[in-house]
Amino acid sequence: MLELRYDPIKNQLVASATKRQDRTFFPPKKFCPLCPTKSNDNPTEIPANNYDIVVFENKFPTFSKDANKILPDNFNKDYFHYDKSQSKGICEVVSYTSDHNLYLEDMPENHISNLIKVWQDRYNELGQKNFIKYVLIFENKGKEIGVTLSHPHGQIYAFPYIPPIPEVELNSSKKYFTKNNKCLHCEIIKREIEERSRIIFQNDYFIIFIPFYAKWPYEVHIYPIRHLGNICQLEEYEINSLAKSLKELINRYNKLFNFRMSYAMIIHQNPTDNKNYDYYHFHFEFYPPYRTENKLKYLAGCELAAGTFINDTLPEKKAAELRKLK
Amino acid sequence: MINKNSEPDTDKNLEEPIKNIAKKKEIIKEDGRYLIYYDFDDK
Repeated sequence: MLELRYDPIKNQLVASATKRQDRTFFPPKKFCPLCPTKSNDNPTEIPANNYDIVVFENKFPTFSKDANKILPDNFNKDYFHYDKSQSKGICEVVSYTSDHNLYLEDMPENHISNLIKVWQDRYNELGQKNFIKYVLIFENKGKEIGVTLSHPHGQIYAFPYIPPIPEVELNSSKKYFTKNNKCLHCEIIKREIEERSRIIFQNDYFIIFIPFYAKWPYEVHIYPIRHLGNICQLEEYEINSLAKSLKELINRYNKLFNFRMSYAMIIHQNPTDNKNYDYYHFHFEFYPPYRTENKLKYLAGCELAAGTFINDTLPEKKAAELRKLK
Repeated sequence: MINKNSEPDTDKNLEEPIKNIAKKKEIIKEDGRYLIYYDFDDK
């Protein structure tokens, strides 16, 4: 059962996807559904016996492209109703490699560049569809984040609406641009470069830093220095630079506590609803759940009830730790 | 709620088609889900 229900109190949509309760949970390597099919007796999700990068529709989706009802553009959040909209949208899995043990940070840079080109193609193709308003590309890594398959992979959720966190970012960006005729994110990049204390590393095309307002101890943002609204606008040299930056950041994470750091990696980009978002600046956000080598940051009362994050650390100190780990 | 299944799927104009993808092959699996192979020449 796939449903979208509207919470009129918090003014948010909640997606129900009951089939996800049955999804594959850490199968042994020989039964990994993302490995290529090596024997007809043991077919996986991917019929070929080898591949570079594969994208396929999620077997346990939150949204379905086949739903025949979607939220109308003028969906009225101002009145009280108990409608159960079907969750029209698309959920994809991106298998980064046929090698079960080759994590993103261990891949050759050219393969990561190719993955970025696949992300570009998916953003473009999914975003072209009329019922898709927002394309969210992300990777959940590690059991602490809730991953159920260890094979290196990411996901793409093509939403039939702009989800609330991107919507807040877009509204703030628009408000700042309208008032100052400047990109809010470009201004943040400028300030980070001036202060330098939160920058982990930087190259000609990307800046990698813990934001002044980080919610999580090791939350890192990667911004293209050039004002770009989505990943498709990257030139070849920027794609290669981004590949190098992703590899370097994750390797620094891994060196921090001498184990592979779990994280949620997300890309915030322009919506795909055909409106003008020239004021927005696309970027990556990384959310590792660890606050020390053996302690996790949990969302508890204050975060869940008040919406105020308590960061047990200072971004400047955590950035200095990551900066040292070259 | 409205039914938009009868509307064309794509009439937006977002970005130029992505270049530099050597080969892209789509298949439909037995259960109706699509799967796309992206192959690159730089191996």
